Amino acid sequence: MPYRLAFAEGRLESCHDDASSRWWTRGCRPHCQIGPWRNESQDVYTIFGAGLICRGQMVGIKAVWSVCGKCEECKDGEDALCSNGVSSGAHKSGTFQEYAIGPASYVTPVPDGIDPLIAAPVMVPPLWCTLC
Amino acid sequence: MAVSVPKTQKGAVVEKPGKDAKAVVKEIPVEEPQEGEVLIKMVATGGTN
Repeated sequence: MPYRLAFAEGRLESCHDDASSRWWTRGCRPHCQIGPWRNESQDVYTIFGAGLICRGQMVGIKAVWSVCGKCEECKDGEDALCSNGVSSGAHKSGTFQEYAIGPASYVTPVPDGIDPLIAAPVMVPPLWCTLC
Repeated sequence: MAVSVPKTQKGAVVEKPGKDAKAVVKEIPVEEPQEGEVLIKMVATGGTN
């Protein structure tokens, strides 16, 4: 039977390594869906979706755990098709656990007032089984 | 901000990936986030198929 492990809603509770602790004491970190990365040829930052994540912010881990932000697909905004994408539940531990790790630059902030049970399935792109 | 995070947790672990795959709930370590990563406490999860 195909079996899929992935896709979560979570609440940032702790970053208990030194680097992250220092990070959080500086306050919110800039967040964007991919990057921002430096586009050397155009000397601009390319950002797909921008926002902030802070400790306690509800976020989602997507089926695609992380992307490179550098390949043609990413640059075209097709990050779900990133050729270097890392898959949640297959390449990385999934979300059928009490605490999961996510990349700060690629978790998706969930707006206040959204029921996590509603938001969780939204983290599934019509893309890959992560484990099947 | 002191937040208590346990060292271990319950998690579904896939045994025998493939047609005989089975998810078994086990006591497993809570991973340590590396730089650029965040630790997320799960409140809901889902999937399709």
